[in-house]
Amino acid sequence: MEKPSLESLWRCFDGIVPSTLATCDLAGVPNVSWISNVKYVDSRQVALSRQFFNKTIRNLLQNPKALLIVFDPVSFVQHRFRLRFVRSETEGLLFESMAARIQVIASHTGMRGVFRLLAADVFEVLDVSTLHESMVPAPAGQAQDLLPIQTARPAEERSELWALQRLIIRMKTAPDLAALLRAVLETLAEDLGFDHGLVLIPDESGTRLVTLESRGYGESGVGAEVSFGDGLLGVVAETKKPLRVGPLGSALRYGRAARDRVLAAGDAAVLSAEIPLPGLANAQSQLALPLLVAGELVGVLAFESERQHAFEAWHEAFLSVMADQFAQELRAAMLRGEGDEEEEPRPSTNAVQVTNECSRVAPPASYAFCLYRNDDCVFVDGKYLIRGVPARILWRVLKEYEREGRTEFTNRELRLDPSLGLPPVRDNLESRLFLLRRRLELRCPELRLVARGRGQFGLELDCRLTLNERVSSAV
Amino acid sequence: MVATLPEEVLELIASGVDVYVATCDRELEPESVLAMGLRVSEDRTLLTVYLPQVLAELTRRNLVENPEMAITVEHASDSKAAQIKGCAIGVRISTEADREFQTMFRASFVESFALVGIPRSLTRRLVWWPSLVVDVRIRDIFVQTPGPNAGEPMRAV
Repeated sequence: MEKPSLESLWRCFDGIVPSTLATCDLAGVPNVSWISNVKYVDSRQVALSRQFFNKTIRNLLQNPKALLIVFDPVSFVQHRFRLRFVRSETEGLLFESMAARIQVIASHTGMRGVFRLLAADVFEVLDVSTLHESMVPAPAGQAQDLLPIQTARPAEERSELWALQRLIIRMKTAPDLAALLRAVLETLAEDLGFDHGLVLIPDESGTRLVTLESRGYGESGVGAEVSFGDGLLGVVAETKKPLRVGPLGSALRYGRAARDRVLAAGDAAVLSAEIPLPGLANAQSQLALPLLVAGELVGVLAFESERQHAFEAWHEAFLSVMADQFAQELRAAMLRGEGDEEEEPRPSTNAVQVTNECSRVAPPASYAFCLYRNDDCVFVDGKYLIRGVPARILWRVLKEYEREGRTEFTNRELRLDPSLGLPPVRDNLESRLFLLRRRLELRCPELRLVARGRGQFGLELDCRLTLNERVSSAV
Repeated sequence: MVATLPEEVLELIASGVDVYVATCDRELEPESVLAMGLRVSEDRTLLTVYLPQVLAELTRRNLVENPEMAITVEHASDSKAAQIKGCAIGVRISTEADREFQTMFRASFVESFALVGIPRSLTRRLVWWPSLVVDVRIRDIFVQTPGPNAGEPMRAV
């Protein structure tokens, strides 16, 4: 019988096919339960998630012997783990990393605070065996169910170190925030085949993430928001821990079953509404990493794939190394120009007009912008455009243009304007302007905020504007 | 003590379930096998479980030392589950008379896993014949659907 190493069984720990744990009490009465999450701890230990106090833990406290069966989700071959219960952890790194995964499920099923990890039960692995005899051989010529990942580079150019080196060079030579974001998402797509990626940053409230740049989501990505604690991205932001999850189907079914039991028990009041998974409708693998500088969250880097097992254990390790560098570069790019602006803006051109061939033929576009003061957001032609600091910046610029015809501005004047609510230090003004530019590109491309060099930008328009202010979008 | 299987567990079993059987030896070392068949007697006090013989030798030896068994049934698409405890009262090797029942059980097992995205090409390859056939007298039935009342006893109404 084959004796595999724990490291070689990483796929089995993704929770795609539920595992089972058999125990027995001192009277010799056995018990067998489904386990929602088995986690590799080290080469001799695994940890199992425990959400409810149950017969299994009562048995283990009497008799530490246990048998775990896990399935390889690709080959469906079973592996048997002879275990000895060692301890329960209710705090610390192991507990927190397992709790974060449970929190994602709880968040998606509206059960935050109800469905939570009670303990990470740690077991010594005494023996592992693979039951090849549990499967009859595949018929000759049967197609594989799992397709190989496609990358833009040949295998010989794709070793981890080469990829890391390329990535770091591109990050370090990126002249601005836009180039930095493009460098990271494009390089990881080319080298690792990660075609659906997001970079999010905390907004000024520190309770929401806003999508700064995306790849593979079309127009829907930039500006999308998620609250801290909600879904995979929100949990990563809140816990500041990386998370790699396989298909959530199995885990969500488990969570929804628990939710149904809570509802049946008449405790509906403790539940919140289910929130949809952001991103790909059919995501089979997800990976998200916090971007931290000295322990402070500056962003979240996230990837999704419609392939199962798109993100392997080594990807998480690789990206964790890369994320440290990216976080530093992102922070630097967002703060670039702070305290380094020219004093005066260029003279404004004072002209609003048609500047390209195409618009001489077609009538100029017209946009109706509306600021909703209580909601702190701007709509354009009745559709949401942007909120928070970027919305206030846009409104200030547009009002100045309306009032005085100004088209040239400086970062410095924005920083000195208390009505914009920028913090005195680390104001991330560059990222706010970047987000605003990207939203304008998507919603009203005839209106642009163009960088003019150090600390200056200009307003360029090939359109007519009307500006309105209202109290609330709900009115 | 003999218990009768409640209607809802009967319906659960009929809906296409995966079934695990656990036993233990006199040293209290647990053992578990994925079953490939589960039949309920007419009076609902007996279960017959079918274990792939190639995987069931340890279970067979355990039952000689200790007839206690746990049988857990789960509907893969919604995680509804129950656990049945009882005593083995007979062990035999499957015969051709069992094949038709096991073929039908396997078909519903394959379909229930297909509903949660496990390819039929994989589940059809799970070994299932010949089987160790164990008759079990039911003593207790427990809720095993994840949630706050998991582990509570169930009674036939």
